[in-house]
Amino acid sequence: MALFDLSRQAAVVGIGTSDKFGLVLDQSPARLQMQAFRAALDDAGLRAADVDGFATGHGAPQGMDYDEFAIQSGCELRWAVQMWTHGRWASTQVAQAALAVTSGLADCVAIINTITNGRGYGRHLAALGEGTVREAFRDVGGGHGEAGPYGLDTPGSATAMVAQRYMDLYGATSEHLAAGPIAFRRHAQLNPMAIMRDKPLTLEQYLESPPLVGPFRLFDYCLRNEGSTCLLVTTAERARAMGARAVLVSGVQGARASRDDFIMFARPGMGLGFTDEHDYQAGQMPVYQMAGLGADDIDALYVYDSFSSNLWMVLERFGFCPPGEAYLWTQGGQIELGGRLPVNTNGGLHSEAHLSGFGHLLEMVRQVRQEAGPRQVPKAEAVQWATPWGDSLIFTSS
Amino acid sequence: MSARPLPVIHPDNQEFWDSLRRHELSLQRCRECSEVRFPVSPVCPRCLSEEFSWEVMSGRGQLVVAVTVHRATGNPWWSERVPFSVALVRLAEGPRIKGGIDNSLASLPPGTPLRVAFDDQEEVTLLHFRSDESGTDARPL
Repeated sequence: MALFDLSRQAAVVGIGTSDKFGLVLDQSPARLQMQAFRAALDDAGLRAADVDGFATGHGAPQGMDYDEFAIQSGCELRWAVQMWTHGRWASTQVAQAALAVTSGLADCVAIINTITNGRGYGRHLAALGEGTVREAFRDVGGGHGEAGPYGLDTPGSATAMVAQRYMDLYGATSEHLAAGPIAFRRHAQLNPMAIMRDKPLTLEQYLESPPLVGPFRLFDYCLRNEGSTCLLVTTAERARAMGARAVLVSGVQGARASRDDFIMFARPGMGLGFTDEHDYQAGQMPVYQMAGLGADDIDALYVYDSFSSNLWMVLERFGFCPPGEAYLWTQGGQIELGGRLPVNTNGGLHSEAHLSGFGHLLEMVRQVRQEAGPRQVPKAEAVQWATPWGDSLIFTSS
Repeated sequence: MSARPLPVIHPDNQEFWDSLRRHELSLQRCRECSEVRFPVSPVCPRCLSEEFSWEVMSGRGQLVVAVTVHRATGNPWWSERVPFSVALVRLAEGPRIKGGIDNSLASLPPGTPLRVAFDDQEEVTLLHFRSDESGTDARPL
């Protein structure tokens, strides 16, 4: 029994992005980050002095460390958390911020995440280090199942093994796999910020592209780009006092890990871990319990789509469909706007931008506020972030 | 020209890599609960005992899944060596382990019997799986 119920105690009161997302923006992490921060403050009607908490995934050199942020923003931080690598800890940053504001450790937390890369501004900052983790060479291998000494040394190549295993187990094909990338690209056509706007993708184009690793083709991979996002989190009570269009943090579920469940972009029970495979059943997901909702109540779903097969993993892990059926469940426009469950209405990491998942979280806020324009899901009262590694968030309007 | 990316060898895993150099595959067996484990670890994941002995495996296994890399975007050393393939194999003793595999074997179905072989490089010996025509213990994988 929880000591207190976190559900609906914290709210997102502001969102902001860098002026643009782009493959190469060639603007410093500090510049991009301050654009996102200022935009979020404007959105919330707050001043920098109101922010006393800070959360980020990885800081310098791709983004900014907490102390750099304090020095350059002038904020007086009394609570900060800086995690490790990008999307893996996106929802955990929101959960940490919610815990911080509800426990009084901070009044308002800025969650800011920035990505720059070596083709862009990163080339000016090379002396600060690569900012990458060589976890493919750990004794346990990489977090995506990489095996560095054997050349399976990128998240994409390791995840191709996951997709191949799924296809072997259940008979899914490349045509099935294409449904996610095509849906996300369609959604991006409606998003002015999306990098792949005005670049439609057809099944024919997808299939003409040659396999790069295992079954993965170019369109199974997300973008690598530059950009920044900010979310401002405070208590629901303070949000009401501000008269804000608050979006409530209603359900939270943490990242999961075990000897069968450590590969970032695989669900358990596929025989890809270190233990003999077993049948997987979604079982009870704490995120729904906390939110007082079920999977059937979710109006739009936001999946960490670094690779196309992640969609299958999320749908089966969270029980949207039984194991081995996601590749069929996603056909026929069911995951597109107007379908049974719109997924990644922003275009996702595939077609909006790789923003470590925060592009998805900002879109969830827009949807709940009914501010998503042509991408608006008619009744977006409850929207969910869910990842192949098992963490989740539910945002609601009430 | 970049150098071949090498495994990080340190006291805890030294014997594993030394055994490959001898063309054996040795893994740790727990002295408390008899569990054979991989990856290398100072304690048994089943009972947390620190007591273990190194034991040479049979070398028999079965393919779980393999992929062929046609375009390598990680360490540049690999980009000139495509296509190459990597397999996940279930050893007869239970643990699952990754290693290289011939491209011609990478599309074989799950459960195909394989045998541990060794790929001697100048600095290190790596695992490389080969087909095992005599393999009889195929179970569905």
